[in-house]
Amino acid sequence: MDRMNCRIVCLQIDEADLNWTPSAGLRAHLQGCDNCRAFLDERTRLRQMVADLGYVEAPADFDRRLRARLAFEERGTNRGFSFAGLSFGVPTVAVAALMVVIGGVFVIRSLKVEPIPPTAISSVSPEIVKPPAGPNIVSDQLATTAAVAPEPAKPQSIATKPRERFAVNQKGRNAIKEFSSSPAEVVKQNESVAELSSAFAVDSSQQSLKLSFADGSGVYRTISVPRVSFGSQRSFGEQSTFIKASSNGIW
Amino acid sequence: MDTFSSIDELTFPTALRQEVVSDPTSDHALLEATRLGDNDAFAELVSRYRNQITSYIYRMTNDYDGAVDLAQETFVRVFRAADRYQQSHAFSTYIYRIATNLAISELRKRKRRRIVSLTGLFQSNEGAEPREFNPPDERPLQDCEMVESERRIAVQRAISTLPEKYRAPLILRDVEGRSYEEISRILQTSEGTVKSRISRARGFLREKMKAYL
Repeated sequence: MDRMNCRIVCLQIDEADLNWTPSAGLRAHLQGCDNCRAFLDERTRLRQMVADLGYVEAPADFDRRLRARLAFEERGTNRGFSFAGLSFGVPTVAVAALMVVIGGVFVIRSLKVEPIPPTAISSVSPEIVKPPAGPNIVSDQLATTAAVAPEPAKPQSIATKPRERFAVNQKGRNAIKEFSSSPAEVVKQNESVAELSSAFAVDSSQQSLKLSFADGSGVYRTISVPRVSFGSQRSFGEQSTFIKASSNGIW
Repeated sequence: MDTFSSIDELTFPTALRQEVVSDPTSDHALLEATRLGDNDAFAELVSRYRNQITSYIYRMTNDYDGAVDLAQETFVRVFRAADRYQQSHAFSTYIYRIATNLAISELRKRKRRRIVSLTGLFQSNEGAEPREFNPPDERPLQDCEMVESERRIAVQRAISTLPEKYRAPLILRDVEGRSYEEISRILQTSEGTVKSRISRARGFLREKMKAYL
């Protein structure tokens, strides 16, 4: 028998469809070829065994389990929060929470007030204060009792560190800045106001000068006088009013 | 075994008959209704294909419980992808493609798990060649039902030893009774390749089922 024909026949047998109708030539070949007929028999039995496997049925609760699984997955994807009729998924909520946390951190940091460093009360010698410019300063050469029209009491130019000045301003009141750890020596004048001499000697070694005045009612008022440089003296003329008039009269 | 005396006796075993669908609603229409939120339509689809898909995956994996899980996963994926489904192919092609991919993935996972071979466990003395683990006597028993059952088990076992690329087309052709054209669409390969693989799969099976042929 022709090999080529047998090969083609076997191929056709192997590829046959369910409703295969063999051609006349194939039928004639099979009638005369034992090998092809044996091949046909073997293939038929093999395919019969495989087809006899049939199909296995799904379990009775297949639908129920599938519905439960779909519901569970749907719940899992829709898990989130609802507010004011709007639903928010988990990712949305997570991003919102993260933004709130970040925003809170920024707010807290911005509200944090830097601690104001404590006022420097130094026990060391204070800074050398430059004498304020102006005619108020009387040099040694000009140390006379001549009346020197004093400049109105200017706000003292305190050569303090900017921070200290800032602290003063921040407090909103005129704070007295101490530049020494020891209290200033108080020079008391026992004379009455009217008997105050226009000038009195003050030891220039004093770190600061405070003048305390009694207003006659037992209340002492203390003022600080700008520090003077060594060798200089502050003199007040007779016309100078040492006592500052206030709205209440003398203070 | 009897041989055929004439060509007229040439018959091929009837392949698995697909479930007759009495409901005129087409699969496409049911899936479209599912997309619009009709759960009953999806339930109808499930009832039409659950046995086929479960059986197909079982034949592929030889694991019934695993096949049920994968069959459910198949329907879950169909449900999730209802919006993206295109009616360019038959729905059966679409669902079988999903089932095939899941089954093949499962088979590959099993390979990676490195199931311990029982070869060599019964080596009696040193130097002897390892003997393969032989299952109990596989000769069919006398009782017809037992014989039939044993044969089916043997066939299933033989199919489970086939390489993946031969297993799927053989099952789709000889168990499911699908055409080469449909199989080629399911497996996304040419008809020629499908025919070739089926032929080779039958050759493998023939070697393993010699005792029963």
